[in-house]
Amino acid sequence: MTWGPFLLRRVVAFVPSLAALSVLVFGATELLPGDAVSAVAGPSATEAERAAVRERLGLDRDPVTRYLEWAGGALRGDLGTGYTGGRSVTELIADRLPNSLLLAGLALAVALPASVALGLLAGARAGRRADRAVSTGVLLVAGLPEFVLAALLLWLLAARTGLLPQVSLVPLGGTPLDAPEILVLPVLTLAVSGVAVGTRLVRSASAEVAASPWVEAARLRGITGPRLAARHVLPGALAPAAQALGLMTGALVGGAVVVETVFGYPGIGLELQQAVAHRDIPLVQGIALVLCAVTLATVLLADVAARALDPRRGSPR
Amino acid sequence: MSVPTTATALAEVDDLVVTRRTDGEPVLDGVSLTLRAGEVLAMVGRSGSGKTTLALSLLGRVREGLTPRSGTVRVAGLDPFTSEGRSRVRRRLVGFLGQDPASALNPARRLGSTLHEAAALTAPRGRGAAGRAERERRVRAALTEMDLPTDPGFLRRYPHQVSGGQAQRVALAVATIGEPRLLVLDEPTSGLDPSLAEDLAARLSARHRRAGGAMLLVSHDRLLTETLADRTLGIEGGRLGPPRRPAPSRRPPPRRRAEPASSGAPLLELAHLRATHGRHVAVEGVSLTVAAGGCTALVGPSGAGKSTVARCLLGLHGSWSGELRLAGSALPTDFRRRTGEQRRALQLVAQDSVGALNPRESVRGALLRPLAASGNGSEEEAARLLERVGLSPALLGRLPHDLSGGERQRVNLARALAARPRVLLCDEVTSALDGETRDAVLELLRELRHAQGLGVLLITHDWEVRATADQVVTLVDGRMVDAEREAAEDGASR
Repeated sequence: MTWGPFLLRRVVAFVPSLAALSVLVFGATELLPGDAVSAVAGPSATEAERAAVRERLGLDRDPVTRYLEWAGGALRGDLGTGYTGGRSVTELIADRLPNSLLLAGLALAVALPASVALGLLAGARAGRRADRAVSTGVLLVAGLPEFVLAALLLWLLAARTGLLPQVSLVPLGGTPLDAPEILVLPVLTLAVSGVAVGTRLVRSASAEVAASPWVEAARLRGITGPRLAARHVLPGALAPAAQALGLMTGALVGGAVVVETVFGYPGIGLELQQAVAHRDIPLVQGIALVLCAVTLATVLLADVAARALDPRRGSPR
Repeated sequence: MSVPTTATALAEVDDLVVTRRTDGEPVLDGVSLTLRAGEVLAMVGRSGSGKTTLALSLLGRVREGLTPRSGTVRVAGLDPFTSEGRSRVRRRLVGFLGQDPASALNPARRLGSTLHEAAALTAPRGRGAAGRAERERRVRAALTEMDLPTDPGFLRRYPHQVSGGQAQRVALAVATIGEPRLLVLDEPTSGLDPSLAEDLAARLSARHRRAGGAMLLVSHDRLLTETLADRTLGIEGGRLGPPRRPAPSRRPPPRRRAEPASSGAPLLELAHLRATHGRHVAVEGVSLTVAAGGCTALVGPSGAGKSTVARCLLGLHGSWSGELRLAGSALPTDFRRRTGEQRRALQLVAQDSVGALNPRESVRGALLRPLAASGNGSEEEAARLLERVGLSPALLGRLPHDLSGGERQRVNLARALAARPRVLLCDEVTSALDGETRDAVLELLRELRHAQGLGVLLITHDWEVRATADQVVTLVDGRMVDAEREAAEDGASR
C-alpha cells in the first residue's frame, strides 16, 4: 500500500472514532453524579428557582436533542457556554490549551530521548545486569501514582531545598515562559512518569530485535556496544516503539490533569478538574472532547511515524 | 598449551569443555582440534551433538545458557574469549555464515550500509577520503565477486527488495569482505531451496579455489562437504571422533515402493481444491488422496502453493473451495466448524520448529495439553511419546530454546502424535535435520504408518524424502503436474 491510500484511510477512520468518543463523553457527563442545577442555583434555592435554572440551561429537554445540538455546535467550533462565569468554552480552551501543550511538549522532549536510551540499553542486554537494574527501577517508578511522584519531587526540590517554586503561578497576563522556573517541577513529574512507561515499551521492542539472527550476525562480525545498539538494534525497534510511544504521549495528556492540579499550573487539566468540581457540564464536555481529539491525533501521528520508520511497510518490491 | 602456535596452525582448540549453566551437563566434553591455514574441515554429527557450539567457540561466542568451563581456544594465537582477542578475531580473522545466510542481513538497513560497515570494520583505519575510497573499492570487489550489481541503486535497496538468491550472496559478501583467514560456516544450506543451496555451495567452492583461506564447515549437506572438505570429523555427544562412515549407501535401506499396506477407500480425499489470496488464485484444481498407512508426497518449487494446500486441509486458510473427506465423511472447510475429534484427526508438523513451539512452555507442557485432550494426560505417556520419537524423557523439563534444531523438530512431531491423529501433515519437517536424524524421523513415520495405519502427507523438496512416499503429487504455480508422468520419470531416473 502506498502512502496516499494509507493516509486517507487513517484520516477517515479518525472521524468515526472521534464521533464515537463524543457520544461517550456526552453520555458520561449525563451520568455524572451531582446536579448542575443545584450547583448553579445554590443550596438554598426554592423549587421554582431550580425549575427556572433548569429551563435556562436547557436541561428540561431530552438528552438526544441536547447531544445533537452540542455535537452540531462542536462541528462549528462552538462548545457552548460554561455555567460558571458564563465564558465561552471554546475561548477558555483556546486560552488554556497552549499552556498544556507546552507542558506536554517539554515533558516529551525530555522523556523521549531518555526512554529510547534507557530502553535500548536494557533491551540490547536483555537478561543481563544492566537490564535488570533499569527494568526494576523503571517498574518502581511506573508503579508510583503521579500525585505521589509530584509530592516527592515537591518535597525534595522545593520544600526542602527551596530551589524551585512550589506552586506554578503564571504572572498575570503573561505566559508560563515568562517564568520558566515554574515549569521545571511539572515537566519533571510528567517526564519521569513518561520515561517509566516509555522505557518499558522501547525495551521490549529492542529485546526482540537483539535476539534476531541479524543482530547475532553483527555481533559475530565484532560489532559491540553503542554501535550495535544504535545501528543494528535501534532501526528495527523504532517502528514498534514509535507506535507504543504514541500511546505514551496520550498518557502524558491524561497525566497533565493530575500534575497541573497538584502544582496549580494554569492548563487545561486544572480547568477540567475545577469544572468537574463545579459541575460545569459544558466545560467538562468540551475539555474531554478536546483531550480525546489530541490523543487520537498523537496515535495517528505515531502510526504515520512507525510506517515511515519501517522500510518493509509500504515500499514496492 | 605452552607451545606457541605454529605457523601452520591457524586455530587450535584444546580440551574445551562447555556446559549447560542450569544442570552442568556438558555440551562439549573435552574437544581438541587443530585447523591448519588454508584447510577445509567438515564437521558432521547429529543435532544436539555440540557442533554449532564448537564452531561458535572459535568466535568466542557461547549460546545463551551455556558457559565455557575449561580448556583453551586460540585463533592465530589470540584468545577469542578475552575482550580484545574477541574483537580482533571477529573483525579481522574469522568470518561467519550461519543457517539461512540471508537472515544475517538487517531488514531495516540498506544493503549498502551493511556492506560499507563490514568493509570499515576490516579495512585498515582511514577516516579521510583515502579510507572511503578503499572501502568503496572493497565493496565493489566483493559485489563483483558475487555477480551482484554494483550500482548505487542496488546498494540503496533493503534486503526484502532483492531476490532470496541475491540476499544470500550479499550476506556471503559481508562475511568475506575482509578476506578472513578462517570462514566458519554453520549449516549454511540447511532449509534452503535446492537451487539456492546449490548456488551457495558453488560460490563457496569458487571462493575457496580463488582466495584459499581455511574453513570450518558444519553441515549435513553432503554435496557441500564432499566438494569442499579436505578432512571430515565426526562429533557425537560433545566429543570428537573419526567421522562415522556413513552407511555404504546413504539412501535409506531398500524398501518396497508402493507398500501394499493399504487398499480400499483412501483415508483422506481432497478434490478440486481452489484457494485464493485476495484476488490472486494461489492454488487451483488440486486433488489428492492419502491412504490409511500410506504416504503421499506433495512436491514443487517454493511458492508453488504447497503450504497453502496444507493450510486448506487443516481448515486454516480463509478462502478455499473443494471437497474434503476423512474416512468417507465430509470435513467442513473451516476448522471452526469441525468437531474436536475432526480437528485432532488432522495434525500439522510445521516447517518452522522454532515458531511452532511456545518459547515459554516446557516440552512437558507442550505434550500434556494434546494428551489431556485425547484422554490420557499422564507424565508417563508424555515420556513414552518422547522415546517414540527418539528423544530422552529427560528433555521433558526443557524449554524450546534449550533444544537443538533436530530435537525441537522431534518434539513438534511428538506433540502432533499426542493428539492421536489419523493423518499427519508434515511441512518440510526434515529440511533442518542432519542426514541421520532425518532418516530416523522418516523411519519413525514409516513405522507409525504400518503399526497404526497413520496416513502421512509429506511436503518436501528433498528427493530422498520424496522417495519414501507411495504417491507423488507435483505442484507448479498452484497447478498439478501429471502425477503419473512424474512417477514414471522418477522411476527412470533412479
